[in-house]
Amino acid sequence: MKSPVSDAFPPSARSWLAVARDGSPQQRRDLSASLTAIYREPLVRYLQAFGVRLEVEDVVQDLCARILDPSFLDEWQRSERPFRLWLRTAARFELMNRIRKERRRMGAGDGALADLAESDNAQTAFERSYAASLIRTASDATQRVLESQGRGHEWTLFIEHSLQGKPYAECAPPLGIPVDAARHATARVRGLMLDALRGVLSAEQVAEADFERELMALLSRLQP
Amino acid sequence: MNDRPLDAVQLYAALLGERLSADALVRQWLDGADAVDFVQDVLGRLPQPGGVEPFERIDAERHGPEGPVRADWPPRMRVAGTVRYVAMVALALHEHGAWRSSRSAQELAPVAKALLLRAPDAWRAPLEALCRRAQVV
Repeated sequence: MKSPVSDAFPPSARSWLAVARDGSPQQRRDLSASLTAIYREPLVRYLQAFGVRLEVEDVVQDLCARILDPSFLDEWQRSERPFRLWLRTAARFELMNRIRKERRRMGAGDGALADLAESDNAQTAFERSYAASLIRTASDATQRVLESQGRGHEWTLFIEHSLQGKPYAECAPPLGIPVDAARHATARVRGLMLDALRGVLSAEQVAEADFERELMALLSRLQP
Repeated sequence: MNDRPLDAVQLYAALLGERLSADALVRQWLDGADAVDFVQDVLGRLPQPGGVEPFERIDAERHGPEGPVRADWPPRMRVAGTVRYVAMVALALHEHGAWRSSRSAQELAPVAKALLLRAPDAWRAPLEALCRRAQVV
């Protein structure tokens, strides 16, 4: 691999498998951390919505620990499902297994436990949390990349202009960025963030043509 | 650097920029603190014969000399159609008696629907009346 994974967001679903199989320990740790940052909290919210009396965070922690297990990723690839739906199913089955174990430990049969129905609330809780964690993780990664390249001031410009609404004339000069160059700098930052999102959304089976529509959908999930 | 967690909604909005759909812009705008007040202000000025003021002027009165510029909104959101939507429909109705737009009613219907769903109770009724006349829902 030409560039260390620690300098980038998960670049594509295909690269996950390559890192899982042949990556260095550091590359595996970095990729695992990135994926866990995106999916851990949504999975916790998802399982909490089932309202069972178990430590769902333990269930999610165990799942995240094997998120880069090659056989786990192979099974996901064969399923041809979006990664988050695959993770949700895995989390739900793991929760069911824990419940069964607990019932056996308590001496109760598990015949009554046919399945854990997935409620709309659970799906909504997951999707909302996923939309937030995805964009935050992408922005964290973008900021890290820029800072590692000595261009942290471009990230600051992006935040001050695009999020806080300050005019370039006000926020660019104090950062040492000429006003004329400011628009290009924020465009570069946006490009990095979009590239970061593309990697994960490819695993979610979002086609390039649907990329913008997916961002709109993610935004709408964050609306009250 | 701001140490507070970045707002996920604002991050998406910043990425989508000018391509942010009218629907999302309406939803964003309706979360604004004085959205209700602003709409009431616009609607309240409509009946005055010959006294229709461009919404930009009303907005400028409320938000300062830079017109439809709100410091707490991302730039694209500030200048794009959100803040203009209700006033634009209202003024078009006043001037032409009907909603005229290069955009199709089919395209605008979801926008109007989203707006009504998110509208606070205080101005749902005037908006519904407006939309009926605007023939977009």
